[in-house]
Amino acid sequence: MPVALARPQGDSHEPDRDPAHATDWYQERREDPDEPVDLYLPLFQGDVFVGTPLDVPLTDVPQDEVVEGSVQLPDAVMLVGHPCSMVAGSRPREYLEAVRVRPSRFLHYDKYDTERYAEFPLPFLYPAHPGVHYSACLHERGLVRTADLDLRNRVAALSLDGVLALQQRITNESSRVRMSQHLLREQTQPRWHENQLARQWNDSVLARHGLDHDELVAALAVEADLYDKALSAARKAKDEESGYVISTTLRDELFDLRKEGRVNVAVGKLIKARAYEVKIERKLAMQKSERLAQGQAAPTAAPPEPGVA
Amino acid sequence: MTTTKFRTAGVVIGAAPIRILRTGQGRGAAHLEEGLGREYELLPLQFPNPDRTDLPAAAEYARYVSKFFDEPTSDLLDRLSDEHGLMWLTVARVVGVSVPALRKWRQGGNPTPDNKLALARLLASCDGLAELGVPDVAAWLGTPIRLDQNRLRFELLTLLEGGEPLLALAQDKISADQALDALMPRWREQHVKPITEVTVGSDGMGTVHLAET
Repeated sequence: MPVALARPQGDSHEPDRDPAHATDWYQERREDPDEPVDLYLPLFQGDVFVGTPLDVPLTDVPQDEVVEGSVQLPDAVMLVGHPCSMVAGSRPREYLEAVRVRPSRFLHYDKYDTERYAEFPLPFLYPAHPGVHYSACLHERGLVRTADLDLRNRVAALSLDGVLALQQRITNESSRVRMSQHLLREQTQPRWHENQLARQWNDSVLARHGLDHDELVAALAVEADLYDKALSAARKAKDEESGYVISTTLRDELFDLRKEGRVNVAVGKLIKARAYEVKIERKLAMQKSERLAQGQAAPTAAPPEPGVA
Repeated sequence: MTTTKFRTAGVVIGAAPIRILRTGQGRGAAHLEEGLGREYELLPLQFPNPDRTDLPAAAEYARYVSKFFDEPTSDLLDRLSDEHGLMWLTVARVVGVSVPALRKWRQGGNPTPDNKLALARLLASCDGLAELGVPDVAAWLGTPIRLDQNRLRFELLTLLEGGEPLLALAQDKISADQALDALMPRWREQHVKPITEVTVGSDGMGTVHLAET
């Protein structure tokens, strides 16, 4: 049986029910116009942004689709580069590959395998626009400056299933080879996992400090570097096959999917240590400013972490 | 052509034979390098533990759910992350809320009774799996029910009575196909078994290829 192009499952346990919200393709959507997708979630393949002009010509895709008078997300684009090629070290590359996102007629789920290969359908993309559906136009592809991607303008982030479906459609459009999603998953799940842990890191370290947007962007860059270093640091672990103690890194261990929980617990401890460090840094900074206001010198050393000699 | 067993990182690819063509240096290469030029049959996780075949009684599971339901939400979330290593997104997906909603609960917000119950069922299931000897509960839950399907084991917990089938699956008391039938009755329509090849480039990253269709 040939590989079929993926379609949303909706509520996964009720596949025959109309998947009115295509829930399994979206990790998050902007439910409320004033509520962006989680700012702590780093960029990833499939993210949809508005307010990001793309300097490529309009094509006739989606065909028959100019939904006259429909509400449009202005200058909407979707990031389409593979997550491995989106970053250089801990930071996103200066330019990222993106395609234009336009309103589109609803594509019935039974037709996902047979129609509109040049699109990645985005049904129910924007809950504030019920009844308006969108597509990422795979032919309208160009580069966007990462600096122009304002996290406050992110309207959706795909789930892992959605990302794999996007990869499958991109491959099919460029090669007419339909890859099974479980093969695509092998290459993408570790990066996905890394991205989710980065969100947990950012959230735990920064969420309680009431930063304004500029401060948050600066702080996220700092934390991205520290997170990258933490994942890249050499550590010892027992090799399951040989029983030997080997030198490895948490990032390498992410590629061994049998260790997901252990890696998560290890990263969780690093997150707690970093959150404590930031808490103390902020406390000391506050004390320093108070003392400066009183004309006194501030202490410089942080107290030891609880439980650390 | 040599066929041998290959378990490292193989839980997702599934039963499709993989031929390693060449390898490079760097991330991801190490586990492929030793298999250069050989064909592998990938195996699922070695579970259930043959030494532990005692399925916790349904009443016992229900008792734990009831107990956890009365505990503070932040404690349940901490246990799921710190002891079982579940990602927040996994917890959010099982409960049916967003990750920012979980953030509010961690900071003192109260979930609805239905959501609290879902959290309690998730923790009771994780404890049950750990008790049965699953070496890494998060990895086990994040593995596809069938290796060639996209539906993950933890998705059983989105069913109203998902905890008990999950524990039964862990003990091989129901088959993967039976679990999928419950979750996704039409899964067979999209069932495929491709033959694949993997190459690893100079950057150490693998690329998957359809070798035959």
